[in-house]
Amino acid sequence: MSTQLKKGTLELCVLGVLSRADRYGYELVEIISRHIDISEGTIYPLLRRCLNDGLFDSYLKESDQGPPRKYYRLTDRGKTIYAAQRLEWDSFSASMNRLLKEVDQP
Amino acid sequence: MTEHDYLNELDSALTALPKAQRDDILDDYRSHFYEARERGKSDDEITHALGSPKVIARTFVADYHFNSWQSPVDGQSLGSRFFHLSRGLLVLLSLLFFNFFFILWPVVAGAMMLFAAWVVIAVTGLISVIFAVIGLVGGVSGLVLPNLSAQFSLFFYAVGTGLLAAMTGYALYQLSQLAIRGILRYIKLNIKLIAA
Repeated sequence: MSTQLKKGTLELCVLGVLSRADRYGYELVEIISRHIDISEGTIYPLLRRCLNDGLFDSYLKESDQGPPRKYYRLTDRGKTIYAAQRLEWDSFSASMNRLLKEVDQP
Repeated sequence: MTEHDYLNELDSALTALPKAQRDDILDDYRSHFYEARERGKSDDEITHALGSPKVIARTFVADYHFNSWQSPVDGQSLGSRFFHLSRGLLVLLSLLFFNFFFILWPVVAGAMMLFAAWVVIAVTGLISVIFAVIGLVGGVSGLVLPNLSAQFSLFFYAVGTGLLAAMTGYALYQLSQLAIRGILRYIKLNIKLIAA
């Protein structure tokens, strides 16, 4: 998959995963890279940007073993933006699929 | 690469950022290493999956500058804001064209060497043609060179050199094609490195 396409959709991936539950950084990387081949290091600049933009906030939570983990939580603003981006994506991918199906027809 | 090397490289590429932010970023990567190692991964696997620390650092630096431009701190001068804007654009450009100079240097050096070789071959070829003609014409008219044997030896030397030049030229042509393919692949590789 083209890297440009991946980059543009990585934010949507993160928002989507966080819309279900709060996650810490490595968990996000794990979940996303299970489906999409990414350079794992690129996710942290994105997380910082989203924090700055107020899409989510972070809090520390003790873990059973090891140091406390930094969890990310979607803010109301983040939820609104996720809903809008998701709508856009769904309609775009539906149109794309329709177009490609039409092209494939003999 | 070990965790230590990776974090060091990241840290030294983040010097444009205030200390607190830098430490915060390093903490994120430190816990990434911790979590990944907990899951049985080796340092090599982890650093490979993370991607180049230099490129990652550049993303942070570009973001930092653009942020300082967009939401200035109280009392921040306009000059300082424009400084951040220009720095941000510069870093962004360097991200787009990845290590512009880093890529370009070897390419430019290689291209110049090839070009110099072509010039030498072309000049040698031209001179040998000129001397061959002189040898022939001189042989016919008896004007340029004192005797026939000198004319003949000049002619044959010139033809010999000409052939050698032609052969070297052919080899050079093959080499140039190889070099162009190599350069394209090299640039593609670099682009892949940034984009990933």
